[in-house]
Amino acid sequence: MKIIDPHIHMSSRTTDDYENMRKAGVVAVIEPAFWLGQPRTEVGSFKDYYSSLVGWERFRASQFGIKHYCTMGLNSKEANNEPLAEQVMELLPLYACKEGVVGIGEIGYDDQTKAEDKFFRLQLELAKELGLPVQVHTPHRDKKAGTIKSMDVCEEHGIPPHLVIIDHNNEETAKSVLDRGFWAGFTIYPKTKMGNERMVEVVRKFGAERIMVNSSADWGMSDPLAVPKTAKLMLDRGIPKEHVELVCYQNALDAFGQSGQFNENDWLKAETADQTQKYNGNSVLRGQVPQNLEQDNESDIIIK
Amino acid sequence: MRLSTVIYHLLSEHLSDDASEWLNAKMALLEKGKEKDLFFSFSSAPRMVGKKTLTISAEQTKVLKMLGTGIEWQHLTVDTISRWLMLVSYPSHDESHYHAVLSKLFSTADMEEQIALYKALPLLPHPHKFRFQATEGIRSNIKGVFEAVALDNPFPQQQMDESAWNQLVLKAFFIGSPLYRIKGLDERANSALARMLVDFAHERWAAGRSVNPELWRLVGPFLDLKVFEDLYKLYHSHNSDDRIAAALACAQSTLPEARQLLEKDMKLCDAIERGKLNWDIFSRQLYAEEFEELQP
Repeated sequence: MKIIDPHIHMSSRTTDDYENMRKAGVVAVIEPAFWLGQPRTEVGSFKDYYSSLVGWERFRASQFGIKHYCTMGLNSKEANNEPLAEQVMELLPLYACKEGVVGIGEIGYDDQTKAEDKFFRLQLELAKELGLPVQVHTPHRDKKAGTIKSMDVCEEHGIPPHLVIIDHNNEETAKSVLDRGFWAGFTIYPKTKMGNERMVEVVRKFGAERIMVNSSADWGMSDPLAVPKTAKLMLDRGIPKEHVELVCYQNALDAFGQSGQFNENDWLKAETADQTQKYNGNSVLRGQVPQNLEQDNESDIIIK
Repeated sequence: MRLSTVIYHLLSEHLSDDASEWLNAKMALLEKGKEKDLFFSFSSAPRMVGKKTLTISAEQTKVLKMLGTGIEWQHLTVDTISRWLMLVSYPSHDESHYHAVLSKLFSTADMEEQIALYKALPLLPHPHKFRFQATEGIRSNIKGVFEAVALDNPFPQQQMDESAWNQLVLKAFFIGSPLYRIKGLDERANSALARMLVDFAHERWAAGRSVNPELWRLVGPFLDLKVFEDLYKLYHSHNSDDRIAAALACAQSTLPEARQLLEKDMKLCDAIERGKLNWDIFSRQLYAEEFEELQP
């Protein structure tokens, strides 16, 4: 089965992860621009980070047969440093139109401060101007209210729900997100967010429409194989294959495909634009065939 | 004829009506010299004009040759050429302003943009201002970016000092890029580079690894008796590529011992002297074989 992980911070992962992801069927990833685990103090750090998302990281992924995309944005935590955030806002137009930028993200609320609200709205306007999808990070604390507020603000700015992916949902937020017509992302992240056994039950309850699973794997304790593992667990526990394909592949493709920068042919008919590059490029991967996750032991695939 | 006019005509027949309209509108804006207009149009080029490979007629090739840029115009894509058109059309009379704006493009470029920018170096006004930038491209870890500077590009030959040039050639070996596509390879061969390459070959052998036979092209003209011993061994190895490379390198040398070794195989020697076999022919063959092996 082909897998897309629509939310994963590959900059903080190793090449072993890329290798294992490819073996497990991951064909494409989306890396939302986020913070680095500690706040940046200079605008230049943002610039280099954004450049690495569209440059080195994308190349690194390609070495393992994975197509790398990203969403560009100023994350909510760092929006609280207002003078710096103002400078970052001036950088974003340089990056937002680049190839493989499939949306503005991850943006939204963390502490739900005034500053966060200001930069969330400014970036919604940028997304609107460019017609790009928005990937919304919902807060850990006061989650339910924060999620509802995020949707209210999107609507207030005239962004239609089909262009917004509300992320990090749980059993408590899912219904209102789906009822209002937004895409609902679920993050399989050990301990703090969702476990994948719970995820199976969410899909059983809500169906597969507009739901997508991601790993959000980053520099914390997380699992870059969370999506393929969850796909396998769903199949093992009787979720129909068509539904598994929707939540682990097709829905992400449809949602972010609205950017015009995320096409299945990018990986199905992988072809470099420049023929002189094709001649010499990527020989490392020739002959490599995607493999399925070969783990039968259920205890290996459960993420608590 | 102006460079931008030639490029524009080259492009125009490959653009849809929409793309053409978009590009014309952008070109009119660019003339005003606002950097933001350049940033927006440069980054959205692929989605607006597409990425088809340009086919170039014999007539067009002639015109392009007359421009004297030294660029290889084959295998280029519509988005790349559109980006070049923007770069050469942006006002450049103020040297340091032009350099500052382009530096911003370089420093925020994605992979394809970097490739387009580095390939454009020989077209840019005030080329001396971009010498440092070119060495940054050579330092890249991304093969496509490195090769955009190093291969089929006359800029390094024209603008790089010897130490930067030597790093470029050495790195080409490390990355596994085809040497024969570096412009000015023979003209800029030098003894310091030959010494580094011989050391490199010895390191490879010590580690039980093979050495790209193209290396000896840069050693041949600087052969001394000590290095000749390496060639002697190479000539007698079982690998036919190594043997031919040793013969070609001997033919570049004035050393009597090298001459003697070359004449051991009159057929090979004859082919070299009559120009039936030279380094370019040898390398093309070498990479063609490698390419075939990689085909599924």
